[in-house]
Amino acid sequence: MLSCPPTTSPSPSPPPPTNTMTSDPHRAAMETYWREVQSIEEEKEGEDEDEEEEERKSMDGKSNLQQSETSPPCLTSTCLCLPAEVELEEVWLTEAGLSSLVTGSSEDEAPPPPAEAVLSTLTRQQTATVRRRLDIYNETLKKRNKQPIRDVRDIFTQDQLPEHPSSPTNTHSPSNTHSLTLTPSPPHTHSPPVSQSRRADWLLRDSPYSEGVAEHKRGGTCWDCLHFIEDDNSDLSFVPVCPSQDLTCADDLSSCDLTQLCFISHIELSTFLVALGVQIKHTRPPRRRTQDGGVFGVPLNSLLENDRKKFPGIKVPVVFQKLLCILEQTGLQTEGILRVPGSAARLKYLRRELDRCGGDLDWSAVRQVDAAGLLKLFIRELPTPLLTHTHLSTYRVSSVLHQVQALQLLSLLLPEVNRDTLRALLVFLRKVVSHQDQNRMSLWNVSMVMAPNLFSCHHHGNKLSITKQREEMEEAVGGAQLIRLMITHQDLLWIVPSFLLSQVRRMNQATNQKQSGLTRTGRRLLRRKSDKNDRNQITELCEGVIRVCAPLHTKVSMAIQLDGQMRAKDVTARFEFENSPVQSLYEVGGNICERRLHPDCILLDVYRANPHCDWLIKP
Amino acid sequence: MGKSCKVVVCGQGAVGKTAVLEQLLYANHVAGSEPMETLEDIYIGSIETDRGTREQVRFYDTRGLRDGMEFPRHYYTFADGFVLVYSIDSKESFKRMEALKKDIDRHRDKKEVTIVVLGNKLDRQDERRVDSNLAQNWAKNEKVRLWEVSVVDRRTLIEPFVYLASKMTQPQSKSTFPLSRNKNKGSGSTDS
Repeated sequence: MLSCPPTTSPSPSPPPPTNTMTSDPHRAAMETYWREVQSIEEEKEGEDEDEEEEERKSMDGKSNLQQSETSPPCLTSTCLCLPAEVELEEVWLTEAGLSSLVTGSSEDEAPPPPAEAVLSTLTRQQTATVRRRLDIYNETLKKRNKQPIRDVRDIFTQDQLPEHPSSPTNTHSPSNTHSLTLTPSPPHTHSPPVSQSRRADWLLRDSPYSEGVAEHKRGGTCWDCLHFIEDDNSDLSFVPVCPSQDLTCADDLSSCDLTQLCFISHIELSTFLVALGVQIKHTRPPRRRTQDGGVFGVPLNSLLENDRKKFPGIKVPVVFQKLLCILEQTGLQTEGILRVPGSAARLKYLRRELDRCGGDLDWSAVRQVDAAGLLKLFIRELPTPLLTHTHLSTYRVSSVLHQVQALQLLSLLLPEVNRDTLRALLVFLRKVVSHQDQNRMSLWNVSMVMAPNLFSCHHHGNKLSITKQREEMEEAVGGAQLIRLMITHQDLLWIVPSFLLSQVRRMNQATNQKQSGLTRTGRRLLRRKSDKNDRNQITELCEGVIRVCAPLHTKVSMAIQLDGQMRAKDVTARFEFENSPVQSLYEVGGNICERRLHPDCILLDVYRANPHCDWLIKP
Repeated sequence: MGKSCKVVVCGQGAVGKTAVLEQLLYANHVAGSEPMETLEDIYIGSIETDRGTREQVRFYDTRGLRDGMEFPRHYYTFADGFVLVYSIDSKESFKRMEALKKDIDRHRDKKEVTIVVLGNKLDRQDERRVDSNLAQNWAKNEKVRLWEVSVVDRRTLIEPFVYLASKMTQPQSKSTFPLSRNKNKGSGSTDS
């Protein structure tokens, strides 16, 4: 069974004695981990007592409610097993952009893309994943005597036809349209890396990660792994591919493209993990109280929304930035920064102050130890974890390379605020590590300290079997390992792999076709309207000529003949007469909503990928 | 924003059409800088007319003409005004400009278009091939205004363009289409 029933979340355990894993070379760091866990626990207890006290005072009987909330989540998930399963599948399908196939989806939200559009872009393996999910969903619905909204067979009829021509079906021949941008050698002749870093050339490949790893599961001719010797101790790392022109960062894309991207990465991640034979643990998120005001326990989104009233355009909540700023200015050289806890009483006081005045604190009174404590507290208290719920399973992936790939998919899945906040955090953590001569916080130390904060860990009580302890141990090391990878590979995390981008393009194309099929007259009207708008541009463009528009400039438009050398920066340079701030070239419309182009991006490639787009210059 | 006039800038290749426009609009063209072949660039400029009003003008910088290349037809019917550019150091460019003027007259039907002619590269006096008097006589016969200019000296460019903008936006003599406005109302807006 591929999607396991909601497993009970890792249950309580004592901090396992560190010598259970004698082979672990990072024993010292492990101690850091458990000490951190312990201090979190203590803090929590202190808080609960505190709140209980308060509640007793207020006498509104809320303590009952609170108790049920703090009770282990396994209790709720076992008694609600069946609905939970349906819900999980439903959530999965919705996150995959297939909410139109789900009964309970609300109609008043933004209309989801037609399911067919999503499905038509998928590879065979990805389709299989969706099909399985849908099967389970419908099965469980039947058990509950509900009519499934649609039969799987109906939805997948078109799949009996040959696959989308451009979707890769063969693992061995990653068709390469990037022949212009780099000169890839066929996979099997790939020379093994000489140095300690390897180019992340897999970012440019056209086949999804899940296609590449089918071999991996079967027993090891996965060429990605073959040439990558794993060594947990070394800080082996991947570096971004050298000709970076064809790479797109997540924030180069407009939000509507990001939504599509989310759907596809979601499906791809599930497929990828299944292909790797990793069981995805469905932990039902423990319900947390969401605060309305204040700073802690408030969703990132609301914080940001609030902050934007004062500082439009910011991407990371101000409090978070402020904390990082204090730490960076004063704490980078401090020994044991992030690890050494501050005074609990002081932390509690500061927390209250912050919640009360909503960030307008006298920051000069906050010492770096406090700031570190507040930072960790802030992350822990988020109503939904910074890394959302799915990340932890990734540590079960067996190769570092695939772990990085999975983390990348996960980062693309995150909501925008989470991604930006995570990025700010990782940048900071990297700075901490770079000062390890002074602060004695090695990469592994930092990862260990942050792990229990980023991955909520449950452990209560002292009554656990050895296996459970082992499991928890593995989870701890695994979590820290993921954070280590995220710190070292943070520059790769935000890059949208080529295959995902082209899937987004295909999906948009399919959506467009579908819509235009529905309302042909509407389209004609639209065209006439746009003709009217375009009357100012009169010359019909011939093949290979693009018209770049720059509505904010004196030179509002320019027709440019593309050749294999023309890069985005060459075009922006032609508009740079006006001493204006640096502007970027965007591709707009066609099969993408909007994408900012890398200055070194070869335009002819973009033109081929999206012949009907408009080209726009703006800040 | 009012409707802007459309001015097509045309002439032989490498006579300095783009240079004239960029010097006029940005005042930072460096003479002798490497020429880049234009396909079709559009600029929006705002020019103060001699009546004191500011008018928005869309300039269409076109591809320089070469042998065997015909000037694209659609420009003729579309433009409100033309800037014909030749270079005083090239007899050929003057001839091509003459031909363009003839074509414009042939194609414009009854549409009122304003034409100004610029003899560029006045800074290259010593390489002059087109006689100044001859050019002015031709202009008088054709009833167009002709200036010899140099992109090095931006002041030489001001007068022709102010004249052009003023002429194009001159209040129309009212007798031509007195009822056209009402007629449009009946047939218009089918696509809304």
